[in-house]
Amino acid sequence: MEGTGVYQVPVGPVHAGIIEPGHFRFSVIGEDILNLEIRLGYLHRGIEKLAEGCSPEKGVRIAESVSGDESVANACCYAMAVEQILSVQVPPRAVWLRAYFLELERSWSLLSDLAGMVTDVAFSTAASRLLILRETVQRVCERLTGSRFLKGIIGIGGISHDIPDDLLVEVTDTLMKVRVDLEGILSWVLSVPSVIDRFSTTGVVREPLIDPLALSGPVARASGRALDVRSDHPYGLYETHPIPPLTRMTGDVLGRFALKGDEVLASLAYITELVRQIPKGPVQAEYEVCDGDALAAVESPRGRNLCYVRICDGSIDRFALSTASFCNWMALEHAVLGNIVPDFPVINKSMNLSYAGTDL
Amino acid sequence: MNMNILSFLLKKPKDLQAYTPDSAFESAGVMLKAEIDRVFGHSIAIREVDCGSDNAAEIELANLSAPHYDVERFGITFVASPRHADILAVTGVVTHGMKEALIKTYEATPEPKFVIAVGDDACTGGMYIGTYAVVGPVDAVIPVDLKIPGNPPTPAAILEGLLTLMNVAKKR
Repeated sequence: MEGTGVYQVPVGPVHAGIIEPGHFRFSVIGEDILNLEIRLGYLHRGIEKLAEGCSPEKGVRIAESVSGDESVANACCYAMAVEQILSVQVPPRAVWLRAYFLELERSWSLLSDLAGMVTDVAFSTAASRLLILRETVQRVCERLTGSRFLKGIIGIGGISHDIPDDLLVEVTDTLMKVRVDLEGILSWVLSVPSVIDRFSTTGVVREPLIDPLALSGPVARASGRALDVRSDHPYGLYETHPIPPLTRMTGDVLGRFALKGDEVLASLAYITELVRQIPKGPVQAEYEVCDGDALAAVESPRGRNLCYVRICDGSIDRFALSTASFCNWMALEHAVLGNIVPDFPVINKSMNLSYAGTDL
Repeated sequence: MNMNILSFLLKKPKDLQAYTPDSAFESAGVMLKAEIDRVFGHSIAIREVDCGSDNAAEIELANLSAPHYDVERFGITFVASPRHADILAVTGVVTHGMKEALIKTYEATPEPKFVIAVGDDACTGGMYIGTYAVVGPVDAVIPVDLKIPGNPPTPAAILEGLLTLMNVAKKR
């Protein structure tokens, strides 16, 4: 954008923080952002092509590598599509454990977002306490599956290995403590005037944008629309044990912060409740590979993830994956308009979109 | 705010969760601090460059500054510009999109500089080798002094890697 007094601020692809690469070009007048252009694609690794010709089992590991902090969501989404093709019934225990891992992943992933948001308004005391909780949840992930990112646990027809019941009960106590701590931290953060001053009316995503940009996840829910794959197209355990979508009306950073906080509390409540009812039995179904195609959707921490798979002659013929970030990046271009450049980091962090999940 | 500032400073919040420091991590950190004092003169500055990772390695690198690890105690800082860096921590397989940016970042880093490849994909290229969109592992583009494997490597593994790097640095 050009004009009298308008200058450009180019940022990236190598950013100042420890984050992924992407190029942002701001057109600025004074301190106000007139326009933002986001250019991504630096992380394009050719994942969709890589999957072609691979066995369906190998595809799970590929889907998992799309984006590290939503690896269970993408692996589950892919596995569900393949299970649809092969007509495999996932055993009840595996259905429950998958929901457990999906919500566990949502918890630690959103806890990072919360910590990032308070860091960007220079409230490092709260950030430290949120990061302690995040690390606690990631260590729970490691105890359960051996991976701090829950990699390698999802498999076609179920999960790759069973988790002993006593271990699940043991970590539940830890997760309940995390929940209590988080409640305290959230009410404390939201009572600090300087935080409210920075969060409120910053980076508003208006509700009419949701449909044309196909926004989903916390970005859409914080703007007043109860869009959630878990309730709109229930899958797995959510078919029988629904988790009601939460919303906020304001669409600003404050709305997204409060919503993500509530979503972590809801996820932790869901899995600590769930653990008492997990059925016994096998965690892996037998299956035979056959040809066909299917599309699956899951709700990742960032919103709606889709995966389309076509199997021909026993191997993957076409693999297409779309994460919520792909559409939600457009919301960022709109949300920053009229805000000042120093507020960009907190607006960006309030959405915390995946670069790797967009570039594939 | 319903508590006054003095009570907030003096009282330990009730709900602050206590945790036990990991003894292996702590002792590795103390050893590393002694090595950094000797080889680099009290501190090292690291610049992270993501060239194609799935963001898990970034999360673990950022974790090093989080309360459980807090490596700034040991003289390790993460800096915003390659011009301030002693060490480049490169993650992910190098994509065609990031090749030029990586070379420019490497050239902007002052001598003497060291490069560590963090994660399996950065070390070997992993499963991405052969796709049309990647150049290859980090050492196909810039010289690498140390490789830290893992998918992604844990914060403790990264710290141990840095300890090994000190031996490499001494020889140079």
